[in-house]
Formats: sequence, C-alpha cells, structure tokens
Amino acid sequence: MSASRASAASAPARPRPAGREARKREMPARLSMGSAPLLAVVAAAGLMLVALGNNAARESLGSAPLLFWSGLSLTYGPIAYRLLSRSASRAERIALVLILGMALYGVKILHSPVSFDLHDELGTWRQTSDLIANGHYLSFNPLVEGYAGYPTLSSVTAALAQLCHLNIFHAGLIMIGIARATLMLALFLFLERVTGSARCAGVGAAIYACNPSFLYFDSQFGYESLALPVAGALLLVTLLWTGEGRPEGRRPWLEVLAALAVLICTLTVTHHMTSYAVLAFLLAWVATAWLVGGRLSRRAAINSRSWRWPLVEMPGPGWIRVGPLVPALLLAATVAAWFFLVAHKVTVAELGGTLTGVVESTVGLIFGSHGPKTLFQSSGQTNSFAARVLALASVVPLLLAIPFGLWRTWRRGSNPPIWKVLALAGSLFPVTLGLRLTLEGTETSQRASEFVFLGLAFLVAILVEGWSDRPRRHLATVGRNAALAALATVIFLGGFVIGESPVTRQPGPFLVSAESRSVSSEGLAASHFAARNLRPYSEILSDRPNATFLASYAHLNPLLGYVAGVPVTQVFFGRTFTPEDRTIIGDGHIRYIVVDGRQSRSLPVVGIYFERYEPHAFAHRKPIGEADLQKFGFAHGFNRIYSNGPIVIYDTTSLPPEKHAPGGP
Amino acid sequence: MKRLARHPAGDLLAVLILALAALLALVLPIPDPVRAVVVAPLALLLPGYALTAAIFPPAAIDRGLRVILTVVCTMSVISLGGLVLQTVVSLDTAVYAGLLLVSTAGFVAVALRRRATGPAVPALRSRLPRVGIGPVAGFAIALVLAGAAIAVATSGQHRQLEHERFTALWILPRGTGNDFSATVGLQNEEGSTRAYELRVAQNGRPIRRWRVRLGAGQEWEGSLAASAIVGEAPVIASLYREGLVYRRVALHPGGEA
Repeated sequence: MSASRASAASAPARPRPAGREARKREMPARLSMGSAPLLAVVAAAGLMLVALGNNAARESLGSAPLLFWSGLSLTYGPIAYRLLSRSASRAERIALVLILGMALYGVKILHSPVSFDLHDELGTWRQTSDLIANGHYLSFNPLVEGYAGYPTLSSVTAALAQLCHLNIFHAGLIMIGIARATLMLALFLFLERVTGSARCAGVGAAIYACNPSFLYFDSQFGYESLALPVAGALLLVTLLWTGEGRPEGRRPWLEVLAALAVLICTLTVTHHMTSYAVLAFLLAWVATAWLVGGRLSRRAAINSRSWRWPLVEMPGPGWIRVGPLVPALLLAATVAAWFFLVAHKVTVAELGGTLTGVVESTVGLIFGSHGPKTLFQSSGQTNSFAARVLALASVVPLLLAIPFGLWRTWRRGSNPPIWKVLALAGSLFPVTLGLRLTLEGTETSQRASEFVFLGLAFLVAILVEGWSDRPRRHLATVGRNAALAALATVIFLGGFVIGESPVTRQPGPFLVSAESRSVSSEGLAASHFAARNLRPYSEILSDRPNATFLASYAHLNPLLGYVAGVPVTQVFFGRTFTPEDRTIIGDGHIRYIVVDGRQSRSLPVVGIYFERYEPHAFAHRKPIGEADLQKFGFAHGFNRIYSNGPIVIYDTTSLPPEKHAPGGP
Repeated sequence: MKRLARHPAGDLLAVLILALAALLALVLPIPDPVRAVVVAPLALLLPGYALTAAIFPPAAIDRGLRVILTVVCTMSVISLGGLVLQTVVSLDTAVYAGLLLVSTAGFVAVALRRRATGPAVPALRSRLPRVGIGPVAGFAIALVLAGAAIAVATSGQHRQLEHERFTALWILPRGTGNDFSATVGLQNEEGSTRAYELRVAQNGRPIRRWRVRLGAGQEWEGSLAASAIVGEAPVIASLYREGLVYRRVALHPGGEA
C-alpha cells in the first residue's frame, strides 16, 4: 500500500481536468476510521458468543458461563485497548465509543430478544399502551407509579409506534437504541470538552460503561434510559453557557438560554432522579466556581481562562454569571414547578419509601440496631468465589484512583471548576459502596452509579492521560495499554457482577419470583387470556411476575400495600380463607386473584413472592405452602375461571357478602 | 441533489422535503415497511433538527452537538408539544403527525429567517462524511454478525418457550339473570395434536360433553345454553386426558360477565 502510494507520489503529475480538481476540493475529507470497522466485527463476534452462551444457559448447559463471559470480554476488551492508544484519530474514537455503547445494548437485547420481560420495562409498556389507547398523558401506572408523572418515554414511543405502524416492543427498542447512541456521543463530547483530549474522552466513556447499571438497567425500556442522554445534552449546552472546557467562540446568550430552556423542560418531564442529580451537580458546580473564582481574584491571579466567566454575553450583575448559576436556577424552578403542580404524588410514592428505607437502615446500621447485609448475596442467591474476586478486583482500582484524581484536580487552582466538581462526584463512589451494606441501600447504590461514574470516568481518564504522558518504546506502550485494557475489562465485568443478581445475568429455566427468569409460556398464555377476556383496569391480586404481565398486556391493576391496615397479600398466606381475607377482597375491590402454584416449589429469588409489604418479605425461610395457594379452589364463592396447570385465575364476583364468609377446606 | 447540497439553506430544504415525503407516506396506502422507513425521520429527527437550526445558526455549534440536539429536541417536541396538546385533544396518529409537521415547518421558517437576517455564515454541509469501502464493508459484516446473534438468541428463546407444554381450560360467564349462560374454551400448547374430552356438569348432573381434537397452538370454544344451567350450584367443567381429570374450572351462575 505504502509502496504504491510512494510510486504514485514520485510519478510525474498528469494534468487533470479543472472540473475534476474542483469536485475533489469540494468533497469532504475522508474519515479515518482506523481499526473501528475491525473492532466492530470483533464486538459482533462477542455478541454471537453471548447469544450462544444465553442459549446454552436456557438449556442449563455447562458451557453457558464460559461462552457468555468470553463474549462480554471480547466485546469490551479490544475496544478499551484501542481507546487507550495514542494513535487513534478522533473520528475513530467516536466510532469506537458508539460501537461499544451499541454492542453492550446488543447484550441486553440478546437477554430477551422476543419481548420486554423486566418489571420496569413492562411498566413502560403499560404506560405507552394506555397512552395509545386513551390519547392522554399521566395515566395511573400500577407497576411503577412514577411513570404517571414523567411521560417523555411513553410519548415518544407511542408517537413512533403509531406513525410507523410498529408494535410497542420494536418502537421501544428503537427509542432506547437511539438514546444509547446519543448518550455515548454526549458522554464523549462532554469529556472531550472538559479535558481537551479525545483520548481522555474515549477512555472516560469506556470507564463509564463499567458502571453496574450500564449493561442491563440503563438499557431497559425505562425512563431513566432516555433521561441520561437528555442530561448529557443539557450538560453540553451548560458548558457552552459557562465557557468551561475547550472554548468555541462567543455566542449570543439568548441562543444558549433557549436551548437550555428546551432541554431543562424535557429533562424535568422525563425522569425525576436524573433531573435531581443534574440539579445537584449544577449547584455544586456553581458553588465551586464561586469559591475558586473568588480565591483567584484575591490572589490577583487573573488570567484569560475562559472558564472564569460565562462565554455568553449576558447583561446583568456579575454574580449571575458565576458558573452555571442561571441553568441551575432554571432547572430548580422547573423541577419544583413540575413536582408541586403535577408529579408530587407519584414521585413521593415511588421515591419516598425507598429513601426512607435507606435512611432508616443506614441509621440502624450505624447505631447497631441492624446488622450489615451479607455482601455478594441477594435473597439467598450467592455469587461464586470467582465472581466475588472479580467484583472486588473491579472496585479496588477505582477506589485507588479517587485520591490520586482528587489530588490532581484540586492541587492547582487554575484547574476549571468543572474538573473539581467531577472529581467530587467521583469521590462519592465509596459512599455508594457503603450503601450496599444494607438491603434497602443496595438499590439506591445501584441507581446512583450512573451519576457517580461520570465523575469516576473523568478521574480515571485524566489519571491515565497523565500517567502515559511520557513517550516510551513501542513495545512498552503496547504492554502498558494491554495491561490497562485488561484492568478495564476486569472493572467492566466486576461492575456487572456487582449490579446484577447471579440468576438474572443470563436467561435460563424458570425460577420462582426471579424477574426475567420467571417468564414462562404459562404466564404469557394467562396474560393473553386475561387481555382477551377479563375486564381491563380491574383490581387483581397476584404474585410479582404474573402481576407484571397482567398489568401490562391485560391492563389489569395489581393491588399492593395495605387495605384497612392489613397487607393485601395476607390473603395468600394461611391454609384457610378467613373473614379477614374476605374483608381485604371487599375493601380492596379485588376482582381477580391469580395463583401460580409453582411458588410453593421454592423460596422467591428476589426475596418476595408478591411485594415488599408481604408477611416475611426478604426473610422467607420456607416456601409458601401448597395449601395456602390452593385454598381458593375450596372456599365457597370463588369462580375458578382459568387454569393452565400452574396458573389459576379466580373471579371473586360470586363471593358471598363479607359477614357470611365461611372457612376453607 | 448537488444543488440542494450547495444551497445555503440546503439542509433546511432537505428537512422540508423529507417531512413532505413523510406526510405523503402517512396519507397514501403504501406497505407498512415503506411507511416506517419514510416516516421514521419525522418521528425521530426532523423536528429536532429544525428546532436546533432555529436556535443555533450554522457554525454556531459543532456537528456532534448538533446531532445530539437533533435527537433530544425531537423528543422535546413530542413530549412537551404532546403535553400541551393532550389537554385539548386526544393524541392519536393524526395529532402526532400534525404536531411534528407543523413544528418542523415552523422551526424551519424561523431558521430560514434567522439565516436571511443574521450575519453571513458558512452553510451547513448536508453531505455525509466520506468513508472508504473497507470500513463500510467492515461495519456491514459487523451488522450482519450482530443480526445473526439476535436471530440465534431469538430462536433460543422460542425453543425454550415451546419446550413448556400445557393445555389451558377456561369458563366464562355470558349474560346475566335468566339469560345467564357460559362459554368454555381450550388452548392446546402441547406442541402436537391432542384429543380431549370435556365434560360439564352442575351439581353432579352432566350438562354437556365434547370430544375435541386440537392441533398444536389451536384454540376451541363451546357454548353452554342458558336453559342447561339451573339453580345456584356451580357449573364445573372437567377436561379429561387419557381418562383422567387433567384440568378443572368452575363458575357460579349469576356471576358478572
């Protein structure tokens, strides 16, 4: 190749037609993709291994884990290696970051390629289906209450599905795929602008993909998956406002303000936690800009660094131009208005219990009233020794990176405030790990990871960039990058171990109350029967997996929580049908009871059969009794309207009035 | 096409042409896959591109940020526009199409006006960047391989679901009071043709008996006449397979339909 180029260069120049020259000048420069196409093929080969591993897992074959973990490593490792390289062009890095994001989204699709089967996904399915059926936002959602107050994902999916005649599953896959690609691009551009280095941005994006939620949770058909790219876009435009990072010239402030307003409104109606997290980040940024800017002024160390004042030319007093104060105030006002005017009930219903639980369990842990949760164990599901080692090996390098990163970002006052805020965000990582010592805190830790890892990605990226500044021999560089890529792969795999229960990492045979592992033909058939024949929006009592399907595909409303101070799921526990059970059914207006006989075979994998308020939730010591589940067939007045073996549906409309409710068998 | 690419507002004109094509695809009777391909840009990109162009003139922001804003602002138009519209009309295909088309046209008009009245700036290049044949082939192979992986996973999940064999039986009320009757149904998910015997009785009194032969995946329904159901005792339908009761369902007369 080079020889032919050389000969072409040494050959006498032949006159070319002027038109051809002109056309050539007009043509855009050819993008240098480097090894991106090859690595795309390698990543796709990794996906094939994951698919084969998943199929093997469905048949309980011993080769399943090897195929799966090899596939994950092949998808991630080579791209991480190339992103560490100094020779890759910017275009190649962008392509690699996009390939990485989309390939890992592919892993999620391979887990459940036929339909959505996660609880939150089916909640979104219900929200979207209701929107298509009723034409109005903010309808009640019995699966994820928060969805009722944050309509962006359901609205864009409904629009795509209706306009393009797609079903909700395919429209949802497309929307989340686009969101994932946009997130990766936004992440790259954000880190590139902040650090001024495309290599830093690529390495940072690869580290961000190691967060425990990235592979499955942030790829699911849920509102947070869509909110993250919106947040990314908002941060990028905020950088335009503050002028931090790589300067791009001055902008009329109204233009940037208009873009900020659109993005802030969109983020606010897309997802609560993401908008709160971005607000907290912006406020921390304002505080840091204020502190750092003031100190610099006192030292008279005024220089022309663009981050000190907004790049936009905005009228008004000086204080209003400190960092992202205006975007922060706008976001705060919008979030508050949306919360108080529209979404306070559903937001509190969804987040209130979780946050209260986290605070109570943390206080209990500190003062000794609760013991710590056993690490690497979730409701009886224990990780293998190798998985534990992998998880620990993934955490240690990140923990080590924090102090060095903090030192590097905070030691020099001239570093822009955004560096310091990102470093602070990354330093929250140990706190989120601490939350995992309690059962209630584990979910919060998991949900916080996509925000904390932005800071961690930045810290690791600038450390890697600083560490590999010195020129070395080629072989040494290759060795160092290979070692770093291997370490990054360990961090990625370990993050996945931390974030996903051992039984749900891959598909497999049916398990009791195990989220996606509880999907079965019988459950799907029952929900399709219910969709055709049962009255929609009726209240039902059911176990968690079947309730998820019935609430989505059949538009039934699972009843959770308490009725007259008694947990509604009390109805399922006990060998006889009691007058108290009859009262719950009457007061709760429960129309149907769905019983899955397989529940009596084993303990629930996620710790609960029905919901968190059930008796002995997360502390079941023996499976629910067979007689407990069968009692409805013997109690007077229940119409046993459907049976496919394990799943039976009872209609309660023929039950005698409450005072006449007789006992069981 | 070349003239369009060289035109100072070529990108905006292209947006209008694509929006018009989407409108035609929505109103003309064309196959669904073609409609999806032609309409998808309207639902995913065009309003956001036009809105971004209305806010930021060419060269005000780099291409990467423009791509991101194109996607996110399209979501904004649907989400925020729909939020306002749903207070006065029920959102359906026509309303979504109207919202997206009107907003696209409106934002294009604003962008054109800003470009006409603002300082002269270089036009946005509406051509795709050049990529060599080798990289294109590489990406194509990767796409085919990824598609094959999805096909493998899909067949694996179908195999697993088909491995679970069962027969479903149901009984549902029809009508109320004196007109109360019922429907019984069967669904064969045993993976092969099966012969069933279904007996319906009330208070020990046989009401009806069917012998049903169902192919794999087939369903069957039979009706019980109102005259056959007498009194308050539950109607019990029992499904026999190889002489043994295999499934049983029951319904109290008078229950709600």
